[in-house]
Amino acid sequence: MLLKRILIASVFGMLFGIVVSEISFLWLRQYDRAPQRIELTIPAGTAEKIAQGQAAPGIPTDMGFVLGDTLVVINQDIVAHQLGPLWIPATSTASLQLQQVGNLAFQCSFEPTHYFGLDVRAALDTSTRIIGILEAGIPMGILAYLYGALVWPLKKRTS
Amino acid sequence: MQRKTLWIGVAIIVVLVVATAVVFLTQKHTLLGAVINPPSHAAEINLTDNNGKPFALSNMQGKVVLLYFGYTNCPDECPLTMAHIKQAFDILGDKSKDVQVVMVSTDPVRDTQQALKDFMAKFNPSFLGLTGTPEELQKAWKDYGVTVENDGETHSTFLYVIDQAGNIRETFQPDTQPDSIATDVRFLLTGK
Repeated sequence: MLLKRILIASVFGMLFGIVVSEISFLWLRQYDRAPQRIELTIPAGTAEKIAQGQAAPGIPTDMGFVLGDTLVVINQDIVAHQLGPLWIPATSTASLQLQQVGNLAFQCSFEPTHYFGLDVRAALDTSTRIIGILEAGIPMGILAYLYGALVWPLKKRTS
Repeated sequence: MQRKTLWIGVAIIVVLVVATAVVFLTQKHTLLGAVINPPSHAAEINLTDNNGKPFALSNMQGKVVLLYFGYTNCPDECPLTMAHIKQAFDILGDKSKDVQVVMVSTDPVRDTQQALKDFMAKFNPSFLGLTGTPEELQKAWKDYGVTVENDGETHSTFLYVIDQAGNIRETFQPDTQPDSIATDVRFLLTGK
């Protein structure tokens, strides 16, 4: 009976862990990939548009990356631009491999707000998903067992 | 039979070691900072150094130049960057004689020639601090995309790495480790 309860609690915990982990995985699916080269182009005339208070077309205000991604910024403008750790001379390109996890707001010369959000996360892979399932499932299994033991205590066998 | 097996094992190990060495030695070096491609010609800087002598960046061709913009009363980023560069110099050893470190002042009011000399000497007497007229400094700041605000106390913190031909090859952040700086400088000193 005890073993049966442990087994039921464990199955319940693992099912809970799978549901929670997989829903989170679906939500964070954009990070389920290998590191890539990601290009961002600063069009010609961007500095002029920013000086006029306009947003540069085609440039997002924040981006998500996976650890190990290489960010490549192509500057087609006639003036140098800055994006956080990257300084890009006029009509040139700068690239940097992102090697630190973090969610940071960087100083940026081609956004009207002068800030650019850079979210770097560890890549989601199978081992991450398994760890997620175990980290949610094991505690929930223990809780389920304890709850069951309190609500339905084991009866002593009478001889 | 046993001797034959032993010799085959030794041969395999030798082949593996040689192959590893070949792969390692022919591996193309990848610069560790924010790489600029194609390399951008470094804009001329005409200022006065901390010894009172005229300084022209174009006269530094033949050396790798590490260019920084900061001020002597900076409490954190500037001394941190200079300290990292100093440690990189220690790692480079004799090769450091082909490297010139330059800091352009962002606070010309307080950064007198003597103040710059005293500041740079704390790290290495060969490091040069540059200052000039407001117009000269503003041109240098603009040419290198340096933001200077709050009387120079708020400023961009890029470390520009200029190769022996006078081209900007990459930039580093202040928290870049000295061995990364030394590795890339050593590579650029080979002329590649």
